[in-house]
Amino acid sequence: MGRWPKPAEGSWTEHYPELGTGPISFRDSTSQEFYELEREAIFKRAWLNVGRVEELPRVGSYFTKEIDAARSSVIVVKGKDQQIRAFHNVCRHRGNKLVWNDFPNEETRGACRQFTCKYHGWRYDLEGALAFVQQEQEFFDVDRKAYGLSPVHCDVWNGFIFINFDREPRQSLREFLGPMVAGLDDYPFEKLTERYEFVAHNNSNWKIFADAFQEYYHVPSLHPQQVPAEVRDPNAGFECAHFQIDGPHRMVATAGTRRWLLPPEYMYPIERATRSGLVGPWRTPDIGELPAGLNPGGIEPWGIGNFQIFPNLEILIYGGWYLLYRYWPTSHNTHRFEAYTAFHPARSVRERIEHEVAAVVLKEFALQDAGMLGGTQAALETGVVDEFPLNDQEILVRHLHKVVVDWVEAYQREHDLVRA
Amino acid sequence: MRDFYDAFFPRLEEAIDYCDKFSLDDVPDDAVNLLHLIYSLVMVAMAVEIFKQPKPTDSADAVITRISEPVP
Repeated sequence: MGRWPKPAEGSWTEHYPELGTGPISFRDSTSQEFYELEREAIFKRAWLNVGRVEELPRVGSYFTKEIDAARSSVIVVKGKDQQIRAFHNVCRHRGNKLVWNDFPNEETRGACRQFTCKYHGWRYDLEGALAFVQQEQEFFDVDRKAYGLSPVHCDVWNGFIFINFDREPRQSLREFLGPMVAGLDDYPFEKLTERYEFVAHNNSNWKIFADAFQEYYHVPSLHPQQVPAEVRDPNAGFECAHFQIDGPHRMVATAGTRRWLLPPEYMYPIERATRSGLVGPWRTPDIGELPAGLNPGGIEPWGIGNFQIFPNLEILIYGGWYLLYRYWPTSHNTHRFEAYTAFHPARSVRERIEHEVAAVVLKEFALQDAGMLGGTQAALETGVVDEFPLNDQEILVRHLHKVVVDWVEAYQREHDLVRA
Repeated sequence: MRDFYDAFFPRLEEAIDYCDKFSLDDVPDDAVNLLHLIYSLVMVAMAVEIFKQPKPTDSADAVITRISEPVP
């Protein structure tokens, strides 16, 4: 009998009957053919988060993003009108990569007044218009207005910059995000600008890593060290307080006594000495009233709200700080993982130390998830079994894989229709 | 790592108190050095206190690289 009440249907999973309760396949995470479809069906149609507005502080600020899954490089830039726009990183002359620094395949960021192609000196302004062509008179009938940078749909939600590679996105960003995510409209992400950023190149399908961060069933087994050995319960389980699904997105809330309110032996000496640790700084600066949408289940005492925004974005909010994960596929069985922890700027050296502790602890435990991945992927790829039972605490794993398969199948149906 | 931990940990709170006297944007060089030692101790504490070995248990060959952080 669990601590947290389940919905009337008897389980979180059955509360969403379209999910089913049977075992699922992970072919979507091992098949090269599936990955090629996923690239088209999802990564070239969904809204993808590429950054935040604070990364473009002034007119002319830009960054580039290499999105292997869409086989595209994108420039994101703030124009003179303060608008943020995105363009394909391709010069309209002979297709050279326009914005890069030391190595063309590496992302870069900076600020400039215009973009100049290294090859023949064509120049584009911050709104993407072709501003200058060297020896323009040598060209035959080239109207500069027809050769501006190719735009990529770009929109901003609560400071998060999203792009969409579809010719015409089927939904606006806000429609795509839906009401559950819109419940975070008033969360003050813009106040939490002190970041520790991480990158990893992982040997697994992007979804296999995402799965590790959308269920806590694995915590007592894979992360037993989160509880000091002296007080560890070898039979511990983990029960989440609330799960919620809204369209392609999902969230989970955990609950329970705040870690630092437990008896001291439930924390490590470094945590007691720095007043920070596994769930972050014990105290964080007041950032104002937090929106009810942060805790849609109304859980008391509330722990964290972990929002998974389809397809590849996780925002996990601890209250006064948050972490963000993005998973970018680079092949059917590899991905680039981007992560950061975001705090209110430290007002003292002590607060800076608290942030350092939180960032280090998080990464060390994340290495346990990452360490397993190569093995998980290899084992899945043997293909000896393809039927995997998921329990109620794993509902978000079930949902992610179902939505991915649904989007691919919808794309295939459309494609077949077009061909006929 | 254990020698470093054993030597430093008993004075960790004292070190934090010392560095905390300064404003973040005006920390003198010797205090920055001490602060970096505190950061090193945080890293070492993971191995000494939590995992009881140099790398996290089951981390295999995984690598996660920290590419930016605030200074100091």
